[in-house]
Amino acid sequence: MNRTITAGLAALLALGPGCGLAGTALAGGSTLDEDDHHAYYFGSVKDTNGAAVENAKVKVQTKTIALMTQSDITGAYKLPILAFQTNPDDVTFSCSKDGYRQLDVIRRSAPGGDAKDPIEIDCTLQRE
Amino acid sequence: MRSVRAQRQTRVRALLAAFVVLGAALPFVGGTAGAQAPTIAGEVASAEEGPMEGVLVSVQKAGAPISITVVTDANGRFRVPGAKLSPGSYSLRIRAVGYDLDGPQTVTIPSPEADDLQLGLRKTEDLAAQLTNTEWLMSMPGTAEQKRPLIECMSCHTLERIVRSKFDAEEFAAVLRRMTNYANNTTMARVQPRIAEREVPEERVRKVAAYLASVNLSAAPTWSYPLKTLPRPKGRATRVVITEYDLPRPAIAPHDVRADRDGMIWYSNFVEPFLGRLDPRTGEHAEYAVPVLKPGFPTGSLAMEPDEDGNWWLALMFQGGLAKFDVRTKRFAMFPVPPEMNGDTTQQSMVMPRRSHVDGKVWTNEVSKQAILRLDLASGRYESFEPFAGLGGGRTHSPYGLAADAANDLYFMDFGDESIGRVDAKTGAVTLYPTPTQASRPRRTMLDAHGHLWFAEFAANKLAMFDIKQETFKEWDVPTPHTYPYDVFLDKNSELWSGSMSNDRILRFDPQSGAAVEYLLPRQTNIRRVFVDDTTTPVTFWAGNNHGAAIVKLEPLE
Repeated sequence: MNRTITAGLAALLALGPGCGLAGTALAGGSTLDEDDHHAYYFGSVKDTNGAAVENAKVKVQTKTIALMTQSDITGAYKLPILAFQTNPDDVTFSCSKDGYRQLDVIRRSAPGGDAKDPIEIDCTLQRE
Repeated sequence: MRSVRAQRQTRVRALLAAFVVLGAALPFVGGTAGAQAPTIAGEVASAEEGPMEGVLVSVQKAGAPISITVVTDANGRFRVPGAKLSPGSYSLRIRAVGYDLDGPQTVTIPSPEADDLQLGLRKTEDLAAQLTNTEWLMSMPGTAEQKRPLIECMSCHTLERIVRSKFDAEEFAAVLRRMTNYANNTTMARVQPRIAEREVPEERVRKVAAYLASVNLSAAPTWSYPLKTLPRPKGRATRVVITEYDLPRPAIAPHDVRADRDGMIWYSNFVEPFLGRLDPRTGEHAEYAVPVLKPGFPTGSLAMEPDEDGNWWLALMFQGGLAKFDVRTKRFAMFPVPPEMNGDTTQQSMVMPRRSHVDGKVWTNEVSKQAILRLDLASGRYESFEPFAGLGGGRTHSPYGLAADAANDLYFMDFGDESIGRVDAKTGAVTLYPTPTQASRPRRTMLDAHGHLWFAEFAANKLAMFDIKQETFKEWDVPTPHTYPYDVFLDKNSELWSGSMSNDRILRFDPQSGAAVEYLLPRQTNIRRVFVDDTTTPVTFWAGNNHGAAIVKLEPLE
């Protein structure tokens, strides 16, 4: 049922404007139905001293698609566009920056959480 | 300063003389060689403000489809360049929110008074009729989430239409259901129903309807909230000349507008099966009929892009496919989406042929499937890419603005959501790069020679750049809230130009310094694709008035 509604909304937006109905549905933060909750990947990139590494490239690769972003000044990143249907086991994670090599990747999920919970992945870079 | 101007005038006259000698038809550039070019000049003032800065003064020769607009300076003075005028009778219009022109309404040139007109303004009795969509959104009470759906409405009509209505919530729900079944290439001059009906969640309809019924005239004869207005142009924003070329039918909806190498202006018509061409030197207008692929389906095209040879490609929307116009033979080659991929909802809004000479492929999109298509020119076959297939449901995606790099790799805007996407031309591998701002809805784009992808973030009210080599973003807020920029163009001076459907303003923005100029246009102007002609100095900006059947040329004086 939920899926049908979502598909309908998706089609509505994709097909373009029909006075406004699409806009609200897509613009995020809406709580129209359950499917509007999205799992996302977040975490931080640090060096071996535990200091934040900014502007590191963060890549999440699934079977079909690569998602790329960068860490901010606090080393934090967020990739908000993965849907919760994505199986975390199918996701490969990497971080990189010129002058560094990837040392370690740590994944954390909320205890007892389900597929809709965000997944934290932290990455450690070592200076070359 | 004075000598520079004098020099320029001399040059303009020399040019004019050359045209006259050549016998060129110049019905609105006029003036005879050697004679003093007649001008229309004067001062604008009101009882409330005295001399007024930032008032747009438009002149239109009787029977001519061209209007020239200038803006008053800090002393309330204006001057229409003589080179744009020829002897005859001109009607006068002004734009200054809150005011109407008291008089005079016409002027004849040459005449003694034409050089020193005194235009008097009086307070308007119908301020609501002067508000832009942005000003309505500023004025309406309600949350950002309540207002957000209205930005879709502007594609077909103004928000004034909504706020002047008297529908209660229940009546509005019926109106909304009806609206969702019009094609997006619909204007007030040409309404096109969709062939495939759309279902809309009832709860959503009711929510939007309830809000709209709370901001319109269903409960009282006037609005319960004060009407807010944007400031008039000042300083640099007054140093501009705007030329509007009216097209011969009100239904003509110029969507994408570009100049070719000879300075001819070409445009896609969003609602009718024609490609249009305007000669801005003579005003001559020509239309080329696009063959209809699917009779009974909505007509019109959205994206218009040149290939390497300067031929124009059109994305044919609900006609299902692409058209290539050969500029030499003036003939169309048609590339319909094949029957097995072509249904009642098939829609191609975008086309990217710029690097087709590299690998013989042209990119387009399939809006109804949230897919990218690629046309193989040799075989006429389309292949499909589903860039969001790995993401599952729950979010809305829509590949929109397209650009291609030197290897014909595709960059696309996910207008439904918040990412820039890339499809590798050789492997088909898809990479998504979320914009720093969430729910930004990137819309149209251009790729410059440095690998910088410039684009408008429609829902985020920002302009943005993605560096395709560094894979990094930069974003800049546009100065006016509720602008909803549609497109952006980087000119030869590294300045950005942008327009929108919301506030009749052209934004000129320097991303290095952050300096912004907003040029107000004389009329309600629904702007889509924007184009800058770099062959002039200063540059010349072009856009279509999608709802107003006009081509707009904006010449900054600095």
